Amino acid sequence: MRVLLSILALLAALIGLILGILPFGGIAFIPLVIGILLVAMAYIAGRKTNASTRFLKIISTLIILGALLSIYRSVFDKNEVEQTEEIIEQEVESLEEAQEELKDLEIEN
Amino acid sequence: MKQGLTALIIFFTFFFGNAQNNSIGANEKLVFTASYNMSGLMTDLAQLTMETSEVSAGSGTLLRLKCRAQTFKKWDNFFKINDLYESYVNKNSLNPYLHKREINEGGYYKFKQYKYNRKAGTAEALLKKKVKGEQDKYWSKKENLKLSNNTFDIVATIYKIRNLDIYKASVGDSDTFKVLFDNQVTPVRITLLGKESLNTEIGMKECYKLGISIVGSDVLKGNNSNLLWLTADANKIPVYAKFKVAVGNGELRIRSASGLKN
Repeated sequence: MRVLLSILALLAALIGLILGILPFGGIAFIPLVIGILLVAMAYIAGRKTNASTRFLKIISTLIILGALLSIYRSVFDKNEVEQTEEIIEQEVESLEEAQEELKDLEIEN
Repeated sequence: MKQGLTALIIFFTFFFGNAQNNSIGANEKLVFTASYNMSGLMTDLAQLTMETSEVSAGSGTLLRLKCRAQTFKKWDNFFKINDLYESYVNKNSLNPYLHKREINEGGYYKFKQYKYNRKAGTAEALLKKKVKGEQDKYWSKKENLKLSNNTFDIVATIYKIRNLDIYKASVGDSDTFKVLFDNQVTPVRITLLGKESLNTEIGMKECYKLGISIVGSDVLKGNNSNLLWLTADANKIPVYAKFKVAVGNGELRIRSASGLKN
């Protein structure tokens, strides 16, 4: 049981870490919270047999790392779009092409 | 009875087709954040910018309605969207003469153009796509579409809705618009659901709450799940929208508004 809980906690921690690296924002906290709960359950299950907690500490570290990354992204990742010369050129070109298409147009009042 | 109905149809066609533009200015810029529901959390994905400008074309000046949708930089490495939708319309009636749609989504490219001929009741449709396996090669296809006079592309329709005299309508009143998209004419119904005050990034605004549905289709899911809030003033700017489709639900929130007509 303890081994199963530890493996599940590791999976949750890894998913949370990946989501923390990716720009998914607060979604990363879902697997991270699940991971923390699973770590706690694995720890309680292992207490009776005095099992080593080293693996759980490693998983906890991954969870904390994932949480820190998520918080960092939430605070510092700005919602900005790329404004390149390519985009400006595209719009200018589109306008010129439209004006060419409409050059014979008689505008109604 | 038949004559009365004909008169009513002519009235609405005239009203909707030729209403004077009192809401849309020539240098307006609206910026929105588009969010999508991922695992129960609204995640900001993209920016939508709607701009207007006067452009010289043909025998005079038209209003260029430009809508650009771009994913935020943080998402570009995963899935990049860069779409440009434009309509070139009459400044007074907002009737479109030309519509262009250029989409670039995760490597997929498509260009669509409609050149309207109101007198003939047609539109020349042009489709352009990339040749498979070739980087800079495109193929194109032209066809002529028959259209009724009150059929407009999606961009022109959005601005037409903003120009409606909504203050004259009562709760429950609805109007159906014929929207041309991908060579198909789709009837879209807009229903006035009421008035609400919303706290937005441009301040507290009293808004008309409109329900959107597609007649005869379940593309838009739910009952009154697709909603649009327009400010209840002369500008009628969209400040908030919620949508629900087969792949999920999302929202659009206004971030800034400038160059308003009123």
